[in-house]
Amino acid sequence: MSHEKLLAETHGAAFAWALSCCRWRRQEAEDVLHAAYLKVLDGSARFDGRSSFKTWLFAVVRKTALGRQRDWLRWLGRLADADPDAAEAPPAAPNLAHNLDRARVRAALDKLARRQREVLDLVFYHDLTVEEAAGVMGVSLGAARRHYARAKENLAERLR
Amino acid sequence: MTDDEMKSLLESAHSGDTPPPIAAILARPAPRRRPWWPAVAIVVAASVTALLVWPRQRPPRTVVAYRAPLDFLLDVPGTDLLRDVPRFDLKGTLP
Repeated sequence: MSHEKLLAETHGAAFAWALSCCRWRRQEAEDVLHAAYLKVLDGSARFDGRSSFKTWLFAVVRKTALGRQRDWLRWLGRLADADPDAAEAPPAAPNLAHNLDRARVRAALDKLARRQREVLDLVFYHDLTVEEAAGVMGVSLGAARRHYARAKENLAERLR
Repeated sequence: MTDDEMKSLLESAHSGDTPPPIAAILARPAPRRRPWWPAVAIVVAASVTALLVWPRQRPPRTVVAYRAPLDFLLDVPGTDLLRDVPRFDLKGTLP
């Protein structure tokens, strides 16, 4: 199957993952996804078949997002944009209670360490195994398990 | 918290996030590489400014080296004689 078809199949999940990597900044997530797709299509990121295409694409998206976050000018720009939700309002959800719930969960997730946030998102939203999540995050299985356990504890504590 | 509750929390965090069409993502213009020289220029300018502004290291003023403005008043006539043992060159003979 061509890369274009595989990208089209995983696009929704890849966008959700990019949003999570960019701390819910929609514009930045779209930029990251664009850059990641270009890497896939121009061959600068090569799929070697050692994992599923989705897992590999998630790793490319994550790496692209991290690379952008290290960009010093974007970092300076983000200092001015202290409240990303206020700057980029998400599409209106059906009701206010739902919006509040989402904002509360996102705020709690944002307070977790990056890898803890990532492992929760990959396992509970994208239905990856902890082993696959470890592959996406580029850490050992043992480290991923530790992040997973701490993330569950910390998120539960923050939402208590 | 159970895994099912955790799953519903993550789903609520992602709810309402409709992805843009993939064609719209792919049709974006290719990002331009940010030039690296402004960053280098800023670092060089900051380094030069720091070198120019940084206070010079002065030798520490010690107590021994310090001489009060009125110390000359202590230099009475004959002080040189009191600083060391006087020597009399008698050339081996007593007067």
